[in-house]
Amino acid sequence: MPHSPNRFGQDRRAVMQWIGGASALGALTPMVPAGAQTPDTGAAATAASTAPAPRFAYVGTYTSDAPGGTAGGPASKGIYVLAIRDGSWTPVQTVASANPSFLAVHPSRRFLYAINEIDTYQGLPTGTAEAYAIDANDGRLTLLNRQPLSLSGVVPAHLAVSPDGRALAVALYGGGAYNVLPIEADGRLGKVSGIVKETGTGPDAQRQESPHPHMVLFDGTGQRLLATDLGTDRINAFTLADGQLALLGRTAVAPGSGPRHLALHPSQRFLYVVNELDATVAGFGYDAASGKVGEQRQRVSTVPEGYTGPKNAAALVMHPSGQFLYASNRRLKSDHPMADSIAAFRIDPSNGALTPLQHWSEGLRFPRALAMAPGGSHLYALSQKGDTLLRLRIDPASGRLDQPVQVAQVPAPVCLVFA
Amino acid sequence: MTITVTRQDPRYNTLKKGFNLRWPSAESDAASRIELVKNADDAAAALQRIVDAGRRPTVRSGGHCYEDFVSNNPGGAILDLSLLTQASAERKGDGRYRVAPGTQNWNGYLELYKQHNVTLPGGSCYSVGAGGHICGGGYGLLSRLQGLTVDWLSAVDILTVDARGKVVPRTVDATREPELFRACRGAGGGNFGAITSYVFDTLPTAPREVALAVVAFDWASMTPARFAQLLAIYGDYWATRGTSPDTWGMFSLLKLTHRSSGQIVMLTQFCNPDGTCNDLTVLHDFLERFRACTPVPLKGRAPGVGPAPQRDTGQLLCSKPHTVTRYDWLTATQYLNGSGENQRGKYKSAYMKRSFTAREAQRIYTHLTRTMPGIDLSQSLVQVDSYGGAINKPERIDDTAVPQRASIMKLQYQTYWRSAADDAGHLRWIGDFYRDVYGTPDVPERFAGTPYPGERYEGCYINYPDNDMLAHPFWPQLYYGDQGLYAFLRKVKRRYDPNNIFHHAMSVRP
Repeated sequence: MPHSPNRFGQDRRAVMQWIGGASALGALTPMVPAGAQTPDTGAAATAASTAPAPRFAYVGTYTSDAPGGTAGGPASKGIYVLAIRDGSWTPVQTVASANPSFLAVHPSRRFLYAINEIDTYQGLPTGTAEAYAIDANDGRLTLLNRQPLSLSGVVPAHLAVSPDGRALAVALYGGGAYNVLPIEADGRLGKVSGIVKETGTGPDAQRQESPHPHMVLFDGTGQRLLATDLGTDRINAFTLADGQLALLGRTAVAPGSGPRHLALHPSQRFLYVVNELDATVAGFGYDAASGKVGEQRQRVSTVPEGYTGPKNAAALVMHPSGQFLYASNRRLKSDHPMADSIAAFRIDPSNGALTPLQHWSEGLRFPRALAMAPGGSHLYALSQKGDTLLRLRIDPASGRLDQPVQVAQVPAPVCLVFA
Repeated sequence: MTITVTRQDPRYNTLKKGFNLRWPSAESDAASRIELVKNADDAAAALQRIVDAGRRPTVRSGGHCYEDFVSNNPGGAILDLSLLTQASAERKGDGRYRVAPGTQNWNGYLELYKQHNVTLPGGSCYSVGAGGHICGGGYGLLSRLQGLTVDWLSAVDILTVDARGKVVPRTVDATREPELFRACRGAGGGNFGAITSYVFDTLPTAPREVALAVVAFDWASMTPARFAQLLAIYGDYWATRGTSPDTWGMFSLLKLTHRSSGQIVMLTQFCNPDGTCNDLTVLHDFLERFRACTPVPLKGRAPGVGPAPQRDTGQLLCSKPHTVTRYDWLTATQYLNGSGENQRGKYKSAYMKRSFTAREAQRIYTHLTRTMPGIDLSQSLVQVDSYGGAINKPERIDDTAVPQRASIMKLQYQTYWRSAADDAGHLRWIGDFYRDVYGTPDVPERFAGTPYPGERYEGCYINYPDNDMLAHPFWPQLYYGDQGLYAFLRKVKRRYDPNNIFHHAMSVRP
């Protein structure tokens, strides 16, 4: 798709005025489809037709020292709660929290977990994780507790709740480690029960001077945890038992590629990783029975052919149908029109092969995060330096993105989950 | 052969803990295993296994760490070097002395004395291990005469872990990897690697004999004014007369106990610079100054001091009101080598460059006479050690990691108890005490509550670590000064422990 001019224009203040009022939102969002009673409608939702329509959106943000920077407006305060009704998003609550850069909802939908991407807590070198209760009526959060992560476990970057809802896994980007925390019956987080400390480096002296676990992902069995390590160019597989992680295997990706985020195909047969440093998506076979990650089968670029700027890929999101995959690119000192963009891929269901489908750049400013509408009808892009949540319709047949709508404005948004 | 002690082992419950019974804080904070190694090669192999398994190693020799740096290691492994004693005080063909980290103070002194008639100016507590004691800048009763242990250090053997996670044995000294060597001379505890041997080219000759003087002061007659006078006499001496080299063989421990203990005790060891007691003029002059404070004979036993030796092992020189006894140096060292019982404890420290102010004396008096309902403070005290002398050589600032080279006294705040139920009370008492003494106006507002290095103070001692100081963003400057040493240590940390394998609450940050 040819690059189209940013329809939000250069003056970003023009698109900030809606905040706090659904009517203003409506005025700026003339393209909300008539059928958008719930975000799940549409043919693409068949794969997840049982998924309940999300009623509440939770946006994680950077409140300070945002890696990559911010739009420069007022600083974020923490976690932003919005209610979704008839396709429009209304602010409900702002929860004070320090750098809640990743969020995860408990399978029961009663609790929300956040990591605090910080390097000091109560004078000790550690990040923290927070547990919140979700009010089923209005979506509001109430802090249950906050647990320190393991000593020297600084700058956590990602978290995942085990499918059985009894454990929280955390990737400690700064501390070069993984943590497991038990989740109590009342949703509170127990003390760290499992620690794995990594060692190693990669060829990029600036970014790969030590291990940097970046994401944790449970596979379909719920017993296994897959993880990326940007610092050592590895995908790691662990088993989780009795609150402890045991290394199952390691898979090397291309040296210097910097694996960042993972996505598992719904069939559990294909595993994809987005590599931040070389802006690629690599595909692997995955054997759910053994938890073994196979050899790399394919590696495709997330930036369009002819792109010359510095590379800085970020998010990776699977469509629930298993037919499409989306990755994001973030602009680093570059004038290239596609420096901030989303790369869409079609997945061959027989062998998992990726075919580039589309590059979308309109309305994006440093899109650190992407989020899939639970039914697959839309993709959300979070512009860390644009303070916006952009909704893009996913064409159910082609997987192509269209119909951009700014659904919300939040300072330095970097994570979006639904409940 | 390495002995691995896991939870199933009958020794586990003993070996998971050390001297301070507050740690591990809870069963869930305990290490999952203790690796008892018997030589440096085994230590390297065990460390490699720990790192390969993704576990956190903490390193232990004597087990006397005051804070939770070693025993709080949830799921991790304690690399226990306490059995590395076979080379204690060994002098190899090269004429150098080697002290293994598992060597306990008293055993080390015995060996060095009996084999070579030398000693190390280290601490008196018998069971403290060389591993942590020396690399943290250990000092003792001979330090005014002979300097700090690290001042004599010539090289260390150390296991570090490189960027790829491989254990690297290194021998470092003033010419080979001098920055790591310097860091190990005062900032080596749990920061950069596991030290498997200390090497000394030379060591000072042990004194032949010493005189021990014990003076006590009854709390019953201790008014605030008399207390202030006592502190002033003591502090003034070290600030003035005590700076002359003829006094450097004198080292004094003023045990400012809580009133409920009954007596304040001052214990002084003295020898002439030549290691004899031929001339006791300096000692008598020192003791004479306290007459105004109405000294009395010691009742019972001084805190931290073992039972008195048999009278016939020493020569009573005078008594009433104080007792001065001349001992063979080794006998005196044994007499004073009590480590105290293993119990719960909390500690704080302060280096002082000046004598006590009236305000300090008043605040110390207030807290030593404070009562806390249900809390027994009879084992609580501030021990004021004399300092300075040979320690205060400015050139040691640049080649060691002990920047405190201008102090005349070193204070150790201590409180001990047995039951976890009393934790809060004791922590509150000692916390309030310390905050108050180092409050404004003696300390500038921005450093209030700490003896921040400046005109009067020189910070804290890393071997008396106090996690409460972590509440201050400037805590590294309290321990390592504000003249650039901490930045240097961080550089060493990033170079030699790039994965931050060796870490604890107060470790040098990457």
